[in-house]
Amino acid sequence: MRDTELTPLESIVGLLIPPVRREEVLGDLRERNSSAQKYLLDAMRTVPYVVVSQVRRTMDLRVVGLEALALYISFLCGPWHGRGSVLRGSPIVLLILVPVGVTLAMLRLLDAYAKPGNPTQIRLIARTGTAIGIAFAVEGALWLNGSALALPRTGLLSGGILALFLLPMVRGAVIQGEGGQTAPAKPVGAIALQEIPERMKKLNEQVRRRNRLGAISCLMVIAGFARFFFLFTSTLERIGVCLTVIASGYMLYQLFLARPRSAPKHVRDYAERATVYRAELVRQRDFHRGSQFWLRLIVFAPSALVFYLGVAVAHQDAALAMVAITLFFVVLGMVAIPLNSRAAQAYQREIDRLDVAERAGQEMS
Amino acid sequence: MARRTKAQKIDSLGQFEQLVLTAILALHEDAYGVTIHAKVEELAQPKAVSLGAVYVTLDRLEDKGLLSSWLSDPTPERGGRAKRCYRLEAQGERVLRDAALAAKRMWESSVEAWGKEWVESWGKQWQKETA
Repeated sequence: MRDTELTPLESIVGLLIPPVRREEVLGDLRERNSSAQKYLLDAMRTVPYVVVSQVRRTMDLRVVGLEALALYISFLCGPWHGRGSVLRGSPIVLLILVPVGVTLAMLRLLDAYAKPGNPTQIRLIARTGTAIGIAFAVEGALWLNGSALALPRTGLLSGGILALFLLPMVRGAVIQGEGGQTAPAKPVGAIALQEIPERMKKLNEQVRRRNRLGAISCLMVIAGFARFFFLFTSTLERIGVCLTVIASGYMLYQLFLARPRSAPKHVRDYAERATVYRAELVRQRDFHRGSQFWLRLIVFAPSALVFYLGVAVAHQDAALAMVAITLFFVVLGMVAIPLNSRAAQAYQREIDRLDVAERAGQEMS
Repeated sequence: MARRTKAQKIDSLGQFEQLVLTAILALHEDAYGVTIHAKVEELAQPKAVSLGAVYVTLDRLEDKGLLSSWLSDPTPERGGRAKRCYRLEAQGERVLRDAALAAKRMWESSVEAWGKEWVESWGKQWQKETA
């Protein structure tokens, strides 16, 4: 085997393989090929399959659907400056499909090439920024060619900025909600009482991250709607704006109540720590189910409906945009129900495990 | 991103999936990318099989819960890289057994329909191919 010949080639091929699969695929290619030429041919035939398979594995159709809606709404409503200047005319509605399609395709690739694990908010924003940047580059190429498919610059820029805020929120809520931000430490088998301090620490970190994401989202909604108060002047629109700000404030209050609480320092006994851990798990479980969850959902529903109804009445040329936005929030609400229910179930499973561990501890003593 | 295990929904397998599962079954502890590909090529003769197609199928079968995988220790002949080894899960064995039984029933029905002469001529041809 000519190592010196293959090593630089391996480095290049390695860059093309998603990191999750890199180790074994590079090893297999090395084992099968002794010459650089054979190696290259084999890699060219194999790597595209590996990438496609990784894209399939990392793709969640619910996330893609929500992303598509969020992107479409961003590019449709981003250029809104009070009177829907760029929203008029059906070609715009179709032209938006180009940046939306490019961004979605790039996000799939970036997800496939991401390192495994729960992505942080910064990573989500960075990935979204990269994908939107590439969509901008494609649009730039279309302008340079004088293509009729190019979106007007103001629409693209303000839509891109709005998408940069909206998309990481949607992705964060679904991806991290599934993976663990809202769920406690990954439960494997029974809990040993000695593990409780570590689990408590992990739980607090996860809750803190969830709350940070929620608070940022609420503050952004409040800031955005505060601006809308001056842009949208009809009574119905302004009532909708006020209701949305109140609903976001209520959500912030709920997050404040559900903030993590550490065990008091004087608690040293494992049994006492278990009691504190259980109380925390119960609090977090109840945040995701029952009256707390439904109240959150109910408080947001009328405010959004009043606002979008008001906009649709005042600006009839923007009716399509309003339908899209309403659809987006309906879908978001529908996705929130199973996500919260799953998170609550995960907390309940952890509580059950804790009960088993405590019973075992009592029997031992 | 989290994926759901679809093991409960598996009723049947595609032909290529059957070949990959059979290869893993035959290879026991030595089932990893290169050996699985070699075995699948042997089973799929005279068709050529690409390594990439084997990877895609392995991923899909793992997602369905029919296989499990782990990384072995690195070896020098692979440039110090680890192998991803595969083994059949109980669900995978069950589904493969069902597929083998269906193939056996197909064989018996074909023999019944096409007669003994066909079996003999087929046997001769098979001997020629494998010689």
